[in-house]
Parts: sequence; structure tokens; C-alpha cells
Amino acid sequence: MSLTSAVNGLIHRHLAWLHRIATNRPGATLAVSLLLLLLSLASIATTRFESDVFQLFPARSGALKLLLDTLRWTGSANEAYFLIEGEPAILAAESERFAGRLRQLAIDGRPAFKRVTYRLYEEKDVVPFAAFVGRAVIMPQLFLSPEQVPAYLERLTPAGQRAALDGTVTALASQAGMGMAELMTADPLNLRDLVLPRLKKGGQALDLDPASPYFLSRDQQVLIMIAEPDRPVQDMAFARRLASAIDTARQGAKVRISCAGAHVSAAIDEATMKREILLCIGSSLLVVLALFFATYRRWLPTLLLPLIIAWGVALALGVAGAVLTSVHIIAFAFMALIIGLGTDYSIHLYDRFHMERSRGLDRDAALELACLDTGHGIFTAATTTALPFLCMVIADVRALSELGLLVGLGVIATMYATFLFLPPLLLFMERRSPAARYAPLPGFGLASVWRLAQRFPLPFRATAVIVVVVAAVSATGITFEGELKNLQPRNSEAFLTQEKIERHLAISPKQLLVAIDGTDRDSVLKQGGLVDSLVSGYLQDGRLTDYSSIGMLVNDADTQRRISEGLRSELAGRNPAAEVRQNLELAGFSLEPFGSFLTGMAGLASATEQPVAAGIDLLTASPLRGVVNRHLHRDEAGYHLISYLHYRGDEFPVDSFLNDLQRQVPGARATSIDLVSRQLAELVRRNFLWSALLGGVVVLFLLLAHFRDTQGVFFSLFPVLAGVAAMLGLMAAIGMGINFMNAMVLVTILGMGNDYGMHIAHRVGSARCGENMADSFVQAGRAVLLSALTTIAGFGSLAFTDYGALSSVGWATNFGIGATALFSLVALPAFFRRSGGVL
Amino acid sequence: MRLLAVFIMVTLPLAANAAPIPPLQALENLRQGFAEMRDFTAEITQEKQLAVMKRKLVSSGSVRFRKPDLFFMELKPPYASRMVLRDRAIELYFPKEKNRQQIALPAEEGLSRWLDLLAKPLTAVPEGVEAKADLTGETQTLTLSPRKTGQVRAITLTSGSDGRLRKLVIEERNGNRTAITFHRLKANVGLGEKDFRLE
Repeated sequence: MSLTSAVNGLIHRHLAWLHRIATNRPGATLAVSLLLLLLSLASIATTRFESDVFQLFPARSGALKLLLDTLRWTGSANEAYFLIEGEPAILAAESERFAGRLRQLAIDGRPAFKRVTYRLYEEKDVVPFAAFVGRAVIMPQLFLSPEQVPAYLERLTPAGQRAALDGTVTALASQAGMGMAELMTADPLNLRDLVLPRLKKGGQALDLDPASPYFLSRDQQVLIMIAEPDRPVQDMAFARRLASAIDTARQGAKVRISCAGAHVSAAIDEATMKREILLCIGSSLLVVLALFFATYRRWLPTLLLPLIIAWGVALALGVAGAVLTSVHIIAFAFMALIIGLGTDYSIHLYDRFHMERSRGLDRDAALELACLDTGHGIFTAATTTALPFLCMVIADVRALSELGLLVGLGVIATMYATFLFLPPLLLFMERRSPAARYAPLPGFGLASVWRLAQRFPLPFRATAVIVVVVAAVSATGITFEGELKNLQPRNSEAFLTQEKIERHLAISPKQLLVAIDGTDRDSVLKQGGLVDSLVSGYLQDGRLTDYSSIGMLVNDADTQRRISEGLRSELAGRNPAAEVRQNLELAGFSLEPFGSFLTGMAGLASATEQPVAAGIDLLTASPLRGVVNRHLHRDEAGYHLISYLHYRGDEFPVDSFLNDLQRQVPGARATSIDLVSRQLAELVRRNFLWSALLGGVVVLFLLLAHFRDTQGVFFSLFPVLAGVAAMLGLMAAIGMGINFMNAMVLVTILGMGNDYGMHIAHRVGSARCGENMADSFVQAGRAVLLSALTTIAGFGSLAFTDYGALSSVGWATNFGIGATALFSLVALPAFFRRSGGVL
Repeated sequence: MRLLAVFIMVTLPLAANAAPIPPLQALENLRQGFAEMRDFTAEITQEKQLAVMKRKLVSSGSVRFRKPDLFFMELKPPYASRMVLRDRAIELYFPKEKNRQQIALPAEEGLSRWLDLLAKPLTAVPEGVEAKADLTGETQTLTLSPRKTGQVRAITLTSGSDGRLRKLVIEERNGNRTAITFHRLKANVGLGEKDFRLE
């Protein structure tokens, strides 16, 4: 006995057993099913759903790991962002009010936010800030940009000093003078104007108005507020309550306030996505039930469909929830497939039963044919669908493995639900209404299609081949869409806010991060200097728009030497301290408060190089510590130095830079959104290929086992392969690219689509034994047509969701399933001989 | 706090009182006088004696206010500056230097907070403030001293029997002293947004 015969024998025995227990022991079957359902519901109740796109992909190495690391190091991963838009005149005042409300928000008796930041520094920072400025302005070799040295020296000339002191007196006489006394004593010549802008800019990831004490955009249109929620985003209950509290806080504001960040995405976007998915599932279910009822005109089987689907979904989700730590919302969305697929099995089984009864077969014989003969087709269809999905469990891309597990389990569960729940219901209906009449079912024009295809097979086949070739040629032009943000909900608040931040506050359209890690700070800083040297070339010839690193904020030894030499040479023969003392007296100042400044002036002409680390320590101890925190992080693994490269687009040759970086600073790592997209695309491609290969082998084996010849395999695979070609060709023709999400549809189409050809081949093939082939085609074709429509209603409806990832999946499904069904129903009949087999 | 004190006191014309009054009553009189006011303008003379300077800085200028939270102050040369305060946001402009600055006041010093306080009758002297009031002839003097160790030590407000503010003195703990004398105070003159522009 061959392996395929043995497998077929096992399947027959298994189906016979299912048929037996379903019809003979329906009570016990129902009790066990209910128990399984309860266990599943308990598991689902404890399952956590995630919505963060980054969580879909493995982050063990490469650009994605570094990106997530930097988000963690800089604290950005856990921050909430508020964008305040309105009349420039009231923006600051309204922001102050809103910040006050945010600070008062409490959840469970604790402040909702650990900090709310929207100004460069607070009043409590005035004294330490003045102290830092007092040190920084008399250490130009450490903190002064080389380009500012001439201006610094100009300020030290007698005329420069007098002009600066005039300005200081005017400021002291103004209403701001009271709060600025410390600062003016620390720096009476206003040298901070030459030192602070570089430090201020280096501490900001955003392009802010330098004249404003607020985080205000340069166009003064928006103000950004950054807040750190009290608890991490993983605490979903907290995130939901926080989102609700934020809504309360922004009520009644005279400005528009929108928010983004992990918590907001987790709570608001999750709710939006869940609502959309559930709405989609609900409407799909209605359409599916309407289609089923419109065709078969039977209430009870129609009403059983949602129960079969619900049981299958619950069982799959329950098992997945038990074995996974969390389920991603996108993987969950793929459960919508179950509506279509779960219905398919009922359609095929009921259609066969109805047709046999309308032909006059008795109840038991019709049910046995439906459960065992068509049931064999259903079993093969379900396994050829489920196993490729389950093969995806091996993928290290979470999106693929989770959806593979969920859909694979769901398909199997709904198939068993169909075999276990539908036959007893049909028997119950027969017993309740023994005289019920089974009217002939609508043919949907399939008989005419069969006749035409049989009469003119060559034109049909030629047309099919031409369509496939044209589609395949068109498919070669398909692009890969690697932009992750396009997968997010397009109208969600978090997405729109993020877009506004990019529009008003981004330093440049693109950013690349370089990180250097090590346990020795000096060594890390030294390597950072090498990165600075490399980047300076790109910066000078305009291939980069901006660059920020520790080395650009605290001068290295060489730069310090040059500045010190410049100071020594220009101040030779002069006594800056005496000159300042004289001018201070002339302006009417007492000299005592300016002791530190005058001492610093006295040392200027003999300024020597300082360790870079000394400058970093000085900054770290000041209110400008954020400048350091943005560039240098320390954790248990050591130091991580981050440099930020800003560029517009193609003018910066990323690959060439990465090669240079690897050559000159071998330990450096780099990341950017583009590099992450590239890494993910490669991951998805590798996972997809392995899954498709493994799934393909399994499907081939199952089809061979089912048909025991290659003709059946051809009938099953031709429509789906032609359908995939048409899908890709159509997508390319309308400018729709493949992305991380809809690439998965290729796997699902291969799994689902072969069912259509397989069911038709199974029924038409069995008609060779005397049954009318046209009737068999019409019966199977009707079920296939309904299956395709229910799948489109169930899964293709995702096309209309706001979530870009789901929408692209929906459209791809519509194209793929639609084309596969068309090839199965219109082209496939032309390949059957009247006497059976392939023409 | 200091800046706010300047503003608050400038905005409160005194109601005339015939006899020595408790501080709370003096404050309530100020509040009632302010309640009837939509806006006002005044000319000022400012004298600043700073701890870091040997000489006094004397300037003249003007102030403007419009409810609910808009305040403008201009000093003329030689120490020319203009300031607009909207609640907690200060904008400063120095015409000679052509330098514009923005300053954010601490939350507790926002105009709206104080205006909210003045919206209803006072039943007690504001928390954390010690107040003294006396009457000499037709001149009433009210001194407010924050108990908290802040920069302001005392604010002294002098007014005449016509309820018009005459002088405001702010003393700081570091020895700084600012005295602002008011002339030609006009209430409800119908100030518009253009009267609060820096340039």
C-alpha cells in the first residue's frame, strides 16, 4: 500500500468516525465542545493584545535592535507627546494651563505623569543654570564653537565690553531684570549668546524656535509638550485610563491639542483598531449569512454558521493565548479569514446534502455522501489551507508566526465544528419537518459556462493563458513598500500628530543614528571623535543637513588647542580682567558680585586644554544635562555614545557612508527608519520563502494523497497560481506595492486558493463514474463561488479599514481570491475532457 | 512673584477710606475697585536700586492692562524696553539691541491665577502672605510680605483717597529695591490688541 493510499484510508476512517459520533452521540459531542469553549474563553480573558507595529518583528540584532535601544536609552519609548496648535499669541499661555492640568491628573491616587516638559528650564534651574553659564563662558576652549571665536574676541575688546554692559544694564532695568540678576552677574558681557545656542541645539531632537523658552516650532505654529507617564506602556489598564484622563484635561482648551506616544497608541489606537476590526467582522458576518440564506433558504443552517465560526475562533484564540505571551492586533485581524473559510466548509457540506436530497436521495445517504465524499474534499481543503499557515509558526517574524498559528488553528477548528455540529442539525431538521421539500438550487449561470467551455475549450484556455502572461509581465513591475508608517492607521490621532511633528518640528526628513558602545568612557569618546571626523566630510559638501554629537558640543583636544592658541595670540599683552573691571565700574556696577567672572577673565590668556570628560561632567551636573543624556547613555552594559545625522534624502549615500563607517570605526553601529525597513524586508522575505516552501511541500503531498495523480494537482494549483499572477499584476498596474503585511496574503492565497480548483476537480473527477459532469461542476462551482464571495466579504472587507496594514491586506485578498475564483469557474472547465481527465 | 506683584498692584485702584482699616478690608477695597475695571493705562517713573550697582537706574514709561490677562509695560531710553505679559508668558523687546526674548513665569505666578483669586470677595488674607495697612491723612499704605523664603521680601502699595495708585515699592531679599510711581491713571479707555504689541 502506498503512502498516499494509507493517508487516504486514515482520512476516510477519521471522517467516518466523526460522522458516527456527530450523528449518534450529539449530546456528548456538544458537552465536550462546550467544555473546550469555556476553557478557551478563560484563556482569551487573560490574553494581552498589542498594537505597536515594531512588536511584530524580531529585535534581537541589527538596525531595529539599535533603534529600540536608542528609544530606551533616551527615554522616548515611554513618552507621551502633546502638540498644541493655535493663535501664536495665546499658545504659550494655553500650554501653561494645559500643563498645569496634566500635572494635576491622578490615577489610583498617584500623579499620572512623572514629569511634564515644555520649557527649556524651570525657575528652580535658574541658579544652577547661571552657575553653569558662569563656568562655560570662561572656558571657551571647551564649549565655544570654533566659528564663534572671532565674535568672542570682539566681545572682549573695550568697545565690545562697553556695548555688552550697556545691554546688561538695560536688561536689569527692565521687568526681566529681577529674575536675571544671577545670570548677569555670572556673565555680564553676555558671552552666553555665543556659547549656549550650540548646546541648546545639541540637546534638542527637534527644530525649535531659538528665541523661545518653550518647545515652540520655528514657524511658531505648534508647541510640543513631552510627558513621562507614571507607568510603562505594558500596563494597558493604566494606558486606557491615562487616555481618558488626557481627554478630560484637554476639554475646554482654546487651542487644538493632539497627542501621540506609546501609551496613546496603545490605548486609543488599540481601541480604534479593535472597533474597526470588530465592525468589519460583524458586517462581514452579516453579508456571509445573507449570501448563505439567499442561496439555500434554510434558517437553521444559516444560524449555525456564526456558532461554528465563533467556536472555531474562540478555540484558536484560546490555544494561541495559552501558548503566547501576547497576541498582536494585526495577527488577530487575520482571524477575519475564519469567517470566510469557516463558512466554506458548511457551504460545501450543506450544498452537497441539499443537492442529493433534491435529487431524491434519502436523508442518511445524502448526509453520508456530504460528510464522507464531499467531506474528503473539505478535509483536504482545510488541511491544505491550515498546514501552510501552521508552517509559518517557524517564522521569527512575529506577525507571520502568530497569524499562522491563529488562522491555522482556526481553520482546523471550524472544519471540525462543521463536521460535528452541522450533521446533527440537518438530522434534527429532517425529523422536525419530514415533509420538507428541497428545491433545486440556483446555478448562477455555471451550467452555461460549462457548456461554452466544453464547446470552445481552446479559446477559453488561450484567453486564460494570455491573461496569466499579461498579468505576470505586469507583476514584474511591482514595488516593495518599506515605509513602516504607511502601515499605521491613517486617520488615527497618534499618526496624524506624528505627521504634524515631522512637518513642523523635524530637523530634516531623514535621520540616521550611529552608536558606539564600550565600558571605557574615554575610549568610547575617542571613537566618537573618529565618527565626527568621518561625518564632517559629508557635512562640508552638503550631503548632510545637520549633525549632532558630543564632539560637536564639547570640543576635542585638537579644537581646544586651536582655540587656546587663538586666545593667547589675540589677548597677548592685554589684561582682559582689568579691562572688564574698569568697564564694570564705568557702567556703575559694584565689583564684588563679579569676582568669579573676573577670575575667569584673568585666566583666559593662559587657557589650556581640558579633558572632554570634564566638559561632559560639567554639563551633566547642570540643567543642560539633557544635552548629554541625548548623546551618552550608561547602563549595565557600559557606555553608549549616540550621534545623529540629518539628511534630506538621496543626496546622502547611506551605503557608502556605512562602508566608510565600518572601515574607520569598526565597532560602530547604525540605524534609521530606512535601515530598519530594509532589515524587516529581508526578514519577511526569508521567513516567507521558508514558510512558502514548507507549506508548498505539505500542500503538494496532501493534494497528491487526495487525487493520487498529477491531474488533480494541476486542477487544484492552476487557478491559484494564475490568481496570484493576476493579483500581483493588478497591484502593479494600480501602483499598489507589496508591504510587510500584504506579503502574507501570498501565503494565505496559496493555502486557500487551491481549495477552489480542488473541490471542482474532486466533484467533476468523481462524476467520471457515471454522474453528470456538468451537474457536478455546477454543484461544486456554486459552492466555490459562494466560498469566494464569503471570503471576500469576510477578509476583503478589511480593505475599507483605516489601518494601512489591514487595508492593503484586504485589497490584496480581494484581487487574489477574486482572480482565483474566476480562473476556477471560467478557465478550469476548459481543461476537463467530456469523458474525464485533461484535454 | 515679583513681576506679578508689580502687575497686581498696578491693576488695583484703591477705594477711599476715612479711617485706619484692617489689611483684609484694604485688600477687599482693592478687589472691588478692580472688579469695575475692564482696562487701564498709566504713566510711570521707575527707580531701581540694585545690589550689583552703585547707582540708581531711573526710567520713565507707561503701563497698560486689559482683562482678562494682558499686561504691557514700556520703559523709555536710556534703558528702553517693552514687555507684554499674557498670563505666565512674558515677551520682552529691547529696541536698541533689537533683541527679543521670551520668558515663562512659574505656574504659581500666572496672571490668571491671581485674577481668579480677585473674582470673588476676599474672606481672608491670601495664604502665605503677611499684610499690614495704615492710613496717614489721605494716604493709605498696604504692605504685603510673603512668608515663604522667596526673592521678594515686601511689596508696599501707596494710594490716595481717590482710589488711584500712587506708588509701588518692591523690596527683594538680596537688597534690590524697585519703586514705581504712577501718574495719570485712566480706567476703561477701550484698549485693543494693537495696544499690546511689542513692535
